[in-house]
Amino acid sequence: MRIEEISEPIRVLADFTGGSACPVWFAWGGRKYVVSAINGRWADRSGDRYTLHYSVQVGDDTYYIHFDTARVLWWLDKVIPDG
Amino acid sequence: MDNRLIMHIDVDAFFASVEQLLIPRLRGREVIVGSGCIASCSYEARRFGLRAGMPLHEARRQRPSAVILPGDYQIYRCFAEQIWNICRRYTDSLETFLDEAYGRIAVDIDRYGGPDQFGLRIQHEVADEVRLPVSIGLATNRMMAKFASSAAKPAGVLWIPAGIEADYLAPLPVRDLPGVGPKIAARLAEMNIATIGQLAALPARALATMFGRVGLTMHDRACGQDDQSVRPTALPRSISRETTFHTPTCDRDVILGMINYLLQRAMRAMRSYCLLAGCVELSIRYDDWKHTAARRSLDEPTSQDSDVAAVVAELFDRLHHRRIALRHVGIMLSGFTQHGSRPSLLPPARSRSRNLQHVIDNIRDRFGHASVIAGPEIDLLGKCRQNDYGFVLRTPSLTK
Repeated sequence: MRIEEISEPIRVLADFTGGSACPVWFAWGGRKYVVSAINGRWADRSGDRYTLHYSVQVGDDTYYIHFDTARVLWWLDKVIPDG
Repeated sequence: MDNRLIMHIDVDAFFASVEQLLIPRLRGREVIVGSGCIASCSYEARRFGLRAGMPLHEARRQRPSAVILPGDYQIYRCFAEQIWNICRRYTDSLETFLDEAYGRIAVDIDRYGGPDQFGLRIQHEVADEVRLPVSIGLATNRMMAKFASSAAKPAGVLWIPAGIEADYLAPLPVRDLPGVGPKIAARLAEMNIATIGQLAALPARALATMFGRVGLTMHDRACGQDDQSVRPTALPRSISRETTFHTPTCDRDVILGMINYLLQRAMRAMRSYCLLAGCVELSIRYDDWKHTAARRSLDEPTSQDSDVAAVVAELFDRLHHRRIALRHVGIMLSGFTQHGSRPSLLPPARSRSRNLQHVIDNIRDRFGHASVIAGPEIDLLGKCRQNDYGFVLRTPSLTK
């Protein structure tokens, strides 16, 4: 299984209905990726910083993204492409 | 309400289950998490005889189709915390470990339809909110709760009612009893004692004669009695940090940098308990798997990184003689005393360095450990990947 570490900022459209953020799509490298499922989510604290992490599914590929609440930025951490 | 009911909750194949949750294509497949040896493997892998602790090369040979992942301890810790938060809704005291926890139930179990239904409720809440499988054991004490959850695995709930503890344990092999290691088991085997029931039938005095105080504890446990309480803030007896290098290295700067990094993490964890270290141990493993370790008592208990770092540097020079790359290093602090338990007649020395340590801790508490790079750690910059938590280690650096 191939894991590609990315660590790049991305633009995300998220749905905040119900008090939690659900990524709907994200834009990376000039392309739009529509999230078909959220595989899992977890919150992490490092010092005062609070980050929300997601494993999302786009087609057959899995993407790990996170929202840095202190910097108000979304990041793409890694991709696990199909195959 | 049975206010002595203790719950033991154990996440089934924890690391592997998290990976299967986050990467859907791993579901139903043999998944191994570990580096060097198996830290966790999915139940699909266990069906083929793979077990935690097995060397990875052996696992690869047995199951070439298995997916092997290095794991991410930080993610696992976050998921564990979500589960413990669910448990805290129902307990007044929770003692947590990496993938298991003991809790003293604080609610009226009967309101939930009895212990079995209560366990199922927690299991469902974990499944709904965290989507991980857990096994739950309920009993009148810690030891029996642990026996119950082990028997309930995977994804089960088992309640051992009060009064049947000894009967429950009686047919089990004596080796399953906590505190019975290979040596004691061998001595018991010489007496033809194979089951816990046979052990319980011996007079406590006879066991005390043979094994001293351990014999008395063993007898109590064989009868299903365990007086250990759930200790939410239990002080550790030792704190260790260890890791395997991404690739075995001979680079002395990198090795000492990593040792210092691990030491600083261990010392910071120790200071969070307001403890002073009395002893430090350094262990190294060469690329040919030869392992060596050395420990030294410190001149006086200390919480200062620099005091311990000087001793560790001496230990490293003593241990590291072979011209073979190192693959693994580890630090263990022990011999703890609490701050203020040994009053000194002398004025506080090194107050400037103590203040500096305090300031660094505060900065790291606020902005994360990686916000300050101190001492030989600096040699890891550019050679080891970093995130907000510090350097990214190949293997998780586990304490509990």
